Amino acid sequence: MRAYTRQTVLILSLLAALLAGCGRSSVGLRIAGSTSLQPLAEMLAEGYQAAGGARVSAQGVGSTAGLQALRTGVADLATISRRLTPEEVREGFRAHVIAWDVLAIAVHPSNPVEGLTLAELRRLFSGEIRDWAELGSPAGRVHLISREAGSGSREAFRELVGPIHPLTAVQNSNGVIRLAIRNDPAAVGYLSLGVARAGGVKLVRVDGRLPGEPGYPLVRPLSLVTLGPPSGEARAFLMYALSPAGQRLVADEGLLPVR
Amino acid sequence: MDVRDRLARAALAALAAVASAGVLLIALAVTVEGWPALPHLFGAVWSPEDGKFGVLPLLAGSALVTLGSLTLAVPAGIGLGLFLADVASPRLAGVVRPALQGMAAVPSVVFGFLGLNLIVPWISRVFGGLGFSLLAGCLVLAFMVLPTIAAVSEDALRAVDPALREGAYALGATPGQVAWRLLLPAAKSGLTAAVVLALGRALGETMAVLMVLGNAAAVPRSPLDPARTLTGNIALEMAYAAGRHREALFASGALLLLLNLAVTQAARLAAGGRAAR
Repeated sequence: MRAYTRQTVLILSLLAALLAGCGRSSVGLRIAGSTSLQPLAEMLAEGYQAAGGARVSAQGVGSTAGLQALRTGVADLATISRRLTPEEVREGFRAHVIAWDVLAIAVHPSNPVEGLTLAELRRLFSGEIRDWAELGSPAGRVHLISREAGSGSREAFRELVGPIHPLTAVQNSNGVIRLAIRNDPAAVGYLSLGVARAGGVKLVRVDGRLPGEPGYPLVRPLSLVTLGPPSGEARAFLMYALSPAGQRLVADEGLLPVR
Repeated sequence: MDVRDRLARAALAALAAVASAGVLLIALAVTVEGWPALPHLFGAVWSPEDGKFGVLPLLAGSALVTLGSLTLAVPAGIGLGLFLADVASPRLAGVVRPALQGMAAVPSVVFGFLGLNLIVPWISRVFGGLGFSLLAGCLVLAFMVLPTIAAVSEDALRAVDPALREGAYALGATPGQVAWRLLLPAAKSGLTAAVVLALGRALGETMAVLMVLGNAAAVPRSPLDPARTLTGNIALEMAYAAGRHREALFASGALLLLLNLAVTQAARLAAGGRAAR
């Protein structure tokens, strides 16, 4: 009998704990949006809490879904890794750029290509240039490596450069793209600068600029979005993201700070 | 009957019901979610950005990588089974068998990682090209299904009545003749089961092949071309997919389920037919 009582107490208290976990009382700020921004959003949320801010929950659901969450009041702040469309601006959304993501173009270290123009890059990835000889390198079929459909990097590349040939090899992370290029003298691919800097690949100038230099064309803004002017907790979080501490986290993530 | 016995029986029946209902529910959910996209699947181009959801390249990728890996792993696996059951001394078998069992316990992502770091660069070095290729996928998968084939075929070969074997030796058959003309035919249904198990695993494997296959959504023209499987495609794109794209992924999941059931069932029928003869 005693044993039963103890078991019952245990089960009841576990159930109570389970139910308590379902509550959302303790979250002060809800962020939803871009998956590319998700690692940074989580770092900022942690830093913000450590600096005495409210508890933040961050969810990576995609830029457009994040705006929808903000519109319906499910989120207090959205993150996007693209620009707002004119319709979205008219709706009252305001984007506050907190970092720049740089897409590096990488080739094998043995490839003599130093720089490409944006037009050459477009012809390369659309499949028009098939042999490295056309770009002054030793002859050999070009091996294109790209990200999967839906990836923020791929979307940014398509927007900034152009279409990607359908027969391109696809890898689903920046890290594997770097590895693939490191192993193949004929490969070329695009990836986030932070990952590309981990080494083993050669970064190519685009329109004469190295990635990270001012004027480099393959950058996209990463922004926090508010509906109307920022206020309350959302404003405090935005201020934190733009503060020196927040911008240090931006640089730690391999992104370009805005300040 | 004791109350506890009844309870236990009811609990087991409930578990059985849950397990079988699970398959049906999964099939149902996947089909319902994917139904609207079904007419869009019959095409030769998979390019969600252009609204094209033809699964032909993915189907070809799945079929080729499965066939390729089984071509490598079935002879090797059955040979290993024969070796363990009939050739090796108990001591040697005692060393090889745990090694094989260990290999079966390795998670698929580890196989993928090894493939990515060893097989892919090796292919790139020896044959040129990207390294991410159908060949890499076949090799990785072959290693993954090898222990299953070896273990199941060893059991099947051991189950052959020892009297048959001794009779054959008594008639003056050589060990080669015993293996080829007696053991393998007698264990045919068990060996088919080994192949079916391997087939199912190869067709459903996702992570390891995703990491080494290169994943271009096109029908490969040579073993050195990249390819994409049905499973890999779902894993690659599910995270972002919405609308028609998401439905198409569900529909391709339903297709995969159907394919797996059909192949397994066909192989089982074939095995049963032979065993009856």
